Amino acid sequence: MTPILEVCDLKKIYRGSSKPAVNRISFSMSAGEMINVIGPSGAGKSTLLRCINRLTEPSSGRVLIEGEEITGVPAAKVRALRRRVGMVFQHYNLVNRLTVMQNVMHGRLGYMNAFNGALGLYSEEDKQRALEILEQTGLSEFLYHRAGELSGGQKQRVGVVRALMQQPSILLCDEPIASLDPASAQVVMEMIRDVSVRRGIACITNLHQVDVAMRYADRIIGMNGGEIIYDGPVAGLTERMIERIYGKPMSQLMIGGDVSA
Amino acid sequence: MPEREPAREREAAREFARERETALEREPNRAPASEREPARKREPALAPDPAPGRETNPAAGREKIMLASRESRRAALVFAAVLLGLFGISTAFTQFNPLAALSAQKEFWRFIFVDFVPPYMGKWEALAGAVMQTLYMALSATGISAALSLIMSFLGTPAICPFWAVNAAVRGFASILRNIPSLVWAFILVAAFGIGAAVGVLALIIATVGSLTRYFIETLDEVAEEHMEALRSTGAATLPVVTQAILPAATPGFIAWILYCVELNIRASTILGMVGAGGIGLLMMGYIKQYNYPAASTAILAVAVIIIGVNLLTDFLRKLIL
Ligand SMILES: Nc1ncnc2c1ncn2[C@@H]1O[C@H](COP(=O)(O)OP(=O)(O)OP(=O)(O)O)[C@@H](O)[C@H]1O
Ligand SMILES: [Mg+2]
Repeated sequence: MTPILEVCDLKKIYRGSSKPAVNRISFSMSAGEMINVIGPSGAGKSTLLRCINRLTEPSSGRVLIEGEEITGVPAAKVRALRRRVGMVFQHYNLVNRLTVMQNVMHGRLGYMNAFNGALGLYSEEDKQRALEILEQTGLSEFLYHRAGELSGGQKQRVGVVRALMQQPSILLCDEPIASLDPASAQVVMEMIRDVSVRRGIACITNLHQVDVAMRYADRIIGMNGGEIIYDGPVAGLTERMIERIYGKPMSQLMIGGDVSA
Repeated sequence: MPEREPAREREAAREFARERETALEREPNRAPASEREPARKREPALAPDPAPGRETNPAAGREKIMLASRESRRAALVFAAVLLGLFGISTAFTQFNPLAALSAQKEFWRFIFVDFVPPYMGKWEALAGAVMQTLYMALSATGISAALSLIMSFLGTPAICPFWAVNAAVRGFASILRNIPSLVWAFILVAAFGIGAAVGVLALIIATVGSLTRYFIETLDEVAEEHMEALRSTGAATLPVVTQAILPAATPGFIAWILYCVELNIRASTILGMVGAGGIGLLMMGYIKQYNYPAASTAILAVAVIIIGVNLLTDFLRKLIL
């Protein structure tokens, strides 16, 4: 079985920087797997995620989405592949003035021709599917609310639904709960796990809280200084390993569950 | 369905997290070292330290506690002194003499209250026509400018137009237009094309397009920063992203800037009239040149009424829309 996502020897050096932000990154993922990525601030977690859908241009290495290479291909091909990779952002990045429904439908734009896309002429079928997903995720009562009126947790759930509208095989989540209170964070994390379990979508989530990462993952990737220090099951993540990932003794970590400080 | 073996591992993880939590509960007062340390160092504490064996008011008998560093206070003082000096020198050079202004007051007030009062207008139709012309000038110029600026701002922001040279050209062009006041444009255009409202509109458009393009680019940049990436990540092409997300998100900003330009242009168009670009300004200038001060003062009152009225209207619209 070909892996859903394959990353081979990925490296990114930002312009004007001498040290790579990510380096020697290789791993692969199968359908429905849930990986949580942990590591101190500046470890390269966001860079890794953004290289996967080429929001950031990798310096070298290869990324394959369902066996098709996204690196080193022309822009049109990149766009076609991006449709299969949903992304969820820390700050939700919804258009606050538009309704939940309008925001969710943005997930379909990649599949439409320029004319229909530009005029927002979504097919009834797509709209029907949006209604179903919103129903399943308990958001249907907010259908015509402006996104700006929602709470942070609700916004992030809408963000996930927008990504789901792409019918992705991979979901990239960059600190999806960093701006949320603990209760909303739990709801969002459960939603992401549900996405991976029920829909068989491979989910990679960057997190700052080790305990949350361990609770919701199948597999943990620990990064430090741009490289993968640990890649394995949750059970194998010992305290010593956590200390190595964060480069700090355990006593300085885990305060309030947040190790970013 | 993918196989789900790691249930046991998840259980182990939960166990681990729970242990961690109880460990935290046992030591509830632990704060990060970085938070604990400075509290002790902060000796002249604002709140009295309840620790026994210490003075209750450690600040007593010591130097006053500064709220800002000595250097920054000195810098602020120097800055204020330089500023005051500059004002003084500038005023001296203009030969503006407050005393002379006071002593000339009688003449001034006589001029205002005797020559200009009571306002009198023989030709109400002329006045109404001129007022409407001024309004038309401002509104038409703002509308046309908004349409032109919209197109130019798309070309001017790297978020939408990927050609660096085009961005720079548009921004540069807009800067040149806006840094020359509309009054100067009106002078040039009146000299070239003669007197008339159309010339006034043209002058206003030139200056407004310069500013509005700049403001629109700012708004677009801000909005694109927030939304472009999220929508690009769905695989959408630029055009749908712009029409479906960037424009809706930028609309309130655009409207606010357009209303601002309506206000500016109402004011500007009355002044442009005075150099021959039509409207109430032209009428007023004519009366003043004919020493018909009562009629001129009526025109001035009309200007004030228009400006206040338009400002009230734009304030209302702003509240309504934004
Ligand atoms: N756009 C950029 N230009 C230059 N350097 C960058 C850029 N983005 C990130 N970096 C650098 O790359 C390194 C990795 O950053 P990255 O944002 O991937 O880390 P991160 O693990 O996501 O950190 P955080 O937990 O704080 O989000 C950092 O040293 C950062 O300064
Ligand atoms: Mg990050």
